Amino acid sequence: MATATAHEVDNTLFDPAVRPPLVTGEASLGSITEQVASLAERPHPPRAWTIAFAISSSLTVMLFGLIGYLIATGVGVWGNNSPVAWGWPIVNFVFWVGIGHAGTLISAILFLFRQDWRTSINRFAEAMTIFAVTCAGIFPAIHIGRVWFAYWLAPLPNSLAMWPNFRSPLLWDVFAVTAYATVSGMFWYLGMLPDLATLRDRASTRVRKIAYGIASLGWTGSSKQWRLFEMAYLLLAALATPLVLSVHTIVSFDFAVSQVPGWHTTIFPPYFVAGAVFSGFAMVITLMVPAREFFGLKNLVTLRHLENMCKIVLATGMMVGYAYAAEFFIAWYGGNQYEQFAFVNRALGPYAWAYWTMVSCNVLAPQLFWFKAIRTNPWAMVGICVLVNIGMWFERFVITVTSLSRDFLPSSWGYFAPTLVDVLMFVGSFGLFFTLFLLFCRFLPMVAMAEVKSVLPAEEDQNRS
Amino acid sequence: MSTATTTRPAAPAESEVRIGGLLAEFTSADAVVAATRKLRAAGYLKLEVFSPHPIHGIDKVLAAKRPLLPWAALIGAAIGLSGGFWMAWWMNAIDYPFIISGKPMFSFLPSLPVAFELAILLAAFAVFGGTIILSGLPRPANRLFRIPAFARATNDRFFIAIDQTDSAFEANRTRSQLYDAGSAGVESIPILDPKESKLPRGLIMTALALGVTALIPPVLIAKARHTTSETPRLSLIADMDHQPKFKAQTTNPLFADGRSMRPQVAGTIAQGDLREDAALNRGIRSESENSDSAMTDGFPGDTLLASLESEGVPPSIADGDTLQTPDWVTDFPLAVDEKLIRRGKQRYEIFCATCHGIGGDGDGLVTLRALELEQGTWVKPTSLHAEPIRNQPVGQLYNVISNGVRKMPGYASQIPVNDRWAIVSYLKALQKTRTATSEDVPPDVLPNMRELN
Repeated sequence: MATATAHEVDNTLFDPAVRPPLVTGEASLGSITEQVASLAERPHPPRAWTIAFAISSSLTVMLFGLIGYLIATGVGVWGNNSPVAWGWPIVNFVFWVGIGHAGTLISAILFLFRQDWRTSINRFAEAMTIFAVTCAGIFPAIHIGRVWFAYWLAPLPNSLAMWPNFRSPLLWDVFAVTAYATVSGMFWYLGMLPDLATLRDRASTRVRKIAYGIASLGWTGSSKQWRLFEMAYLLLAALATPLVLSVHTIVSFDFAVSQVPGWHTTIFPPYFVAGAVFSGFAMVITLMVPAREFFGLKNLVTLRHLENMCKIVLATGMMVGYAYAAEFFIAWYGGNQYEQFAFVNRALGPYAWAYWTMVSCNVLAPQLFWFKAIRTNPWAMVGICVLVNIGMWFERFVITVTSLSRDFLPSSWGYFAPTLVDVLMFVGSFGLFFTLFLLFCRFLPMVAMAEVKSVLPAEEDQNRS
Repeated sequence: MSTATTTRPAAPAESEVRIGGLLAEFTSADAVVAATRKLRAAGYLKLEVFSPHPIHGIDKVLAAKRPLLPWAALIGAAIGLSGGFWMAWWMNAIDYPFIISGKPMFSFLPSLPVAFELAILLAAFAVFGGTIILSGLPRPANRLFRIPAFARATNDRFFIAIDQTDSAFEANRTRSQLYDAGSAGVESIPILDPKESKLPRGLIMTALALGVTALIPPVLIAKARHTTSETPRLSLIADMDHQPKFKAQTTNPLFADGRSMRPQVAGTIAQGDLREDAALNRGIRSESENSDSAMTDGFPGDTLLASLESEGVPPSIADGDTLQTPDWVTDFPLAVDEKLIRRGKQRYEIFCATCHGIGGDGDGLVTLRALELEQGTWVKPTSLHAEPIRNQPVGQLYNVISNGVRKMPGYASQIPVNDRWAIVSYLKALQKTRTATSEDVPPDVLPNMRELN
């Protein structure tokens, strides 16, 4: 890790006449391979990794233990109860699915817009997407109560001679999340093939040779393979772009298609998508800053990358803030007293503490990114992005719980309280997320080497000629 | 030979030995593009370029065709889209018709999300699968992997491989041409011994064994589904399948009579069931009742039947000439004022008018529709202005509303007691409108009658 990591180079100044470099320091093809691949080749992980892995894997074990307890006992171990039948499990599901949006957005949409700066962070963000979607998928799967009937979610021929209801947003959700997880996985794996081949060719032990040999499928980097690879990557990006927008739209339909006051609004799809991008980018920054610090990737993931992401967080944060305001406006303008009550109750009712936590974290905190000093200070970003993620969790909590706890019938009103199992399962899902993430950092190429190589200044000139 | 040498080695002595081709190493993308151009000009067609990252422009030099992947994506998307719509239509409108709020069985918009997601999913499968297959992957054994220097093809070096089947190939001449094109080192590509490229026997046997083992669970499931068994089914979560409680209509060994449903204890009334005032609650004079059930809401028929059985008269539902007529109250058991009658009018128009008609002539909308359908099962309601009905005591009218008569169902569960009396009071007023004369009107109101309309 001797290469060009000693000090931070400021490449955030924008001069239209000079293209700022995407990779700083004296980088060559070989040095990038060496820098990235050697991270996955260390015989022993650093102590910090070991400690983090010990903690996160213990939490994962706890999560699966609790899932076992839940299955054996029933969903009564959660705080979900009439009238709030959608408590923490659904809040956590939407939270994780939202986080899972940044990866594909960076990979696909920024790729289509030819934002070359994405190459250093896309692998990282895609991995995060897949792990977040994994965490998300767990909650609705166990929320169905009798998990051994989970296959009823899919349109499979069964002895009841019944089919699922294709007019239900919950079924759309099954298709959307499954398709999203599958396509993201294929996108991630296909993009990683050349880098897995690099690891195979550098492997020094027999086990690694066989493992990476199988994983890389025999990739050689021939011009024919690259031709197919590039076209496939473009096509998958073009397919993933509408997909990523549709997934959170459909998640928002789970709410918007119902008639509960506070849910039944047309603003939900764009509002949810903006929120998903917002939370996803915040999570990428939260993970990226420590990772570039610990793994010495400052020359590849430069300040300019981080600054660009901060700008996206600021922009999407203001979209989310606009949506909060628009909801209130429509509640007043629409003249529906139930809707009006739902929103007044959100801001001033028993869950006002959650509502104002959400507003301060999601709308006020990102405003600090107007200042360049904060936008270029990695640890300040992490602080703000952690706040954003807290705020986004509360957003889902506010939407789900305030509306359900105060619906049309005052006789059924109640106050939702989570149980210890609720809390520990949410903590456990973070354990699972970080476990997968740490394994990824340990064994897979964290940065898309082949893609970064093609944006090196020298290669870029060649490619543009 | 991992580092390229700049000095040109002499042609190997064993050049007579057949080789698979030649592999030339280059240090930069520019060099490999220039060399490819030169070699193409020299007539080589079967050459392949290897690089650690995609080289733009090489496709033009190699005169490569555009891959057909977009067509694969289009076909995948078309199958997904039509398959999604087909599922929504066939599964919800044909095979298992889903009736939801009387909406059409199939409509376009709600079927769109699933069709859209499937289109994307299948297109992505087509692209991914197409790329893997067209790239010739998976291909774990490749003769190029036998050349140590080739390991840098995925790192920082560029290679050109020329196959020996190329018509322009001649080992020594090609070798020197490659050096002339700027190669940093040329190596012979070995011919793989077919035996060598085979998978190890142990691996094949293991895979076979695993494959056969993997078939066992589905076979067992298939057997279980298509045969009968005498053993009780498995309860994965025993306390959900067998909950410690007694259900209705089952036996319970804890009680002497063995019933799990407990009868009411003699001499008691369940909470909320106390109906002390028989005149108000049942429309019967209190002093005429003597049984326990007078205190509760029981069906008056119970009392009727009990009295019939004791008197040995065959039960009949006909308005009893031979039966002992209950002692209906003739006066309202609650204060009648204009407010009550107005309340009664409102309730009447909600609950009664649909069949009896607003004016009580038995011409409500439901009645008209039923007669139009000519189903034959509909009994037209008696006009509420008919003589026998006009003469019924208020207690009997109240009883009819509560418990029904002939085909009319009882409304006790839908209309509270006071509202039933309110309806009776309105009904009396309604009947009066047909029989009243100007003498019935108080003299001080009479001059204003027209205005009262």
